[in-house]
Amino acid sequence: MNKNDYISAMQHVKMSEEFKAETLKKLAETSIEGGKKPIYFKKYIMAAACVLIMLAAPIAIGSYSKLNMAKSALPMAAPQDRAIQSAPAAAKSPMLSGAAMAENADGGAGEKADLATNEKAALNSEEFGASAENVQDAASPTAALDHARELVLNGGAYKETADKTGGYNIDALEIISEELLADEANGKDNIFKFTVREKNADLPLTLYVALDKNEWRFLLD
Amino acid sequence: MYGETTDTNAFVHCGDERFTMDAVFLKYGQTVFRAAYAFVKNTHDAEDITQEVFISLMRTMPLFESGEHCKAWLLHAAANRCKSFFKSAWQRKTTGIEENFPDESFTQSEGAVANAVSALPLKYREVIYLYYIEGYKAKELALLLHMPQNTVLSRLSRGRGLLKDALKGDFDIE
Repeated sequence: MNKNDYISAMQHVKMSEEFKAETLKKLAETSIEGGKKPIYFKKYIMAAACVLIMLAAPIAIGSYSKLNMAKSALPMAAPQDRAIQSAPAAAKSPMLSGAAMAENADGGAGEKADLATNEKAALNSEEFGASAENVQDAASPTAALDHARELVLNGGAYKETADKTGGYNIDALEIISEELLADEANGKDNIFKFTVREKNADLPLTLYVALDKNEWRFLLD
Repeated sequence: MYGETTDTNAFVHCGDERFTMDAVFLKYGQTVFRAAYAFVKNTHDAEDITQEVFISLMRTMPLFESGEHCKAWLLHAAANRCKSFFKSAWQRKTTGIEENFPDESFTQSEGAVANAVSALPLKYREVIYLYYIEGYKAKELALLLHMPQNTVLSRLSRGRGLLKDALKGDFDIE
């Protein structure tokens, strides 16, 4: 026995044709795949992704919490929604509704009969172009009262309405009494009742001003 | 370097020549398979290792100085993968199916020598196979296996001694 026996023995070791074909096919498939990245490279990508997620998750959670806190600090409804909600509430109020005022007028207060056209004018802020600034001034009851008074005395809105309806001369208006009917502490809008009178007229006029954080409404009696 | 050139038009550059992967496999696949078989002594494992070696070549696409350089790279890769194969937990905890060489095409002396070599420890089997079958010199083996030349020579010497013991002196390896 010698090395030639070993060499000739190893010459018998050959790949099978099936294996050859399978390997060629596998090589072709690997080529078509565009070259897979080595496994450790994938591991690096996965590790980097995990680190990013671990870093980003607390930040995202924190932002979400802050957002929720900010949301909770806001009023329950958006300003537009509040405006929509407050109008029916005012209409339901017997003091504010036009129908109630008409009943009062029928109840003997004949002097109010000529106000019939105006008392139905439950006018909202959009009509008068209420701005956000003057509404926010009315945050506290006192400030709201001041603001409401200012609206009554200087409110061009009322003047404009009065001019349109031909009812009153607001330039000569004086306040006889003022009263807070409801405030926000009771979960309602600030509603003020003003009794005013034109200087050249004998009959008093009652005005209702409803204010909340987002709007004011100017109601005539 | 990884995954740079592995499209279907990728070529293995061997000096001035370049070959497709199919051509390289057809040219050197048998060599790699035989080496893997000599190291792991199992056809299926040898096939797996052969495929891994060529896929590794496809992914790394080193630039070879010549065809011989390419062959040496493939054999080196096969040897390393065989070592990894024996180090794997699966291999350490299981008993592999080792195949003998009782092929009917073998003569008695061929089978005896082949079995004796395959029974050697891997480190001796490796150098004996590459020295006698692939025809590398000790100096070349030192470069191929990344070990000192004296280590190669000592392993060759010890491997021969073990073969003589196994074949009861009826072996002339020189």
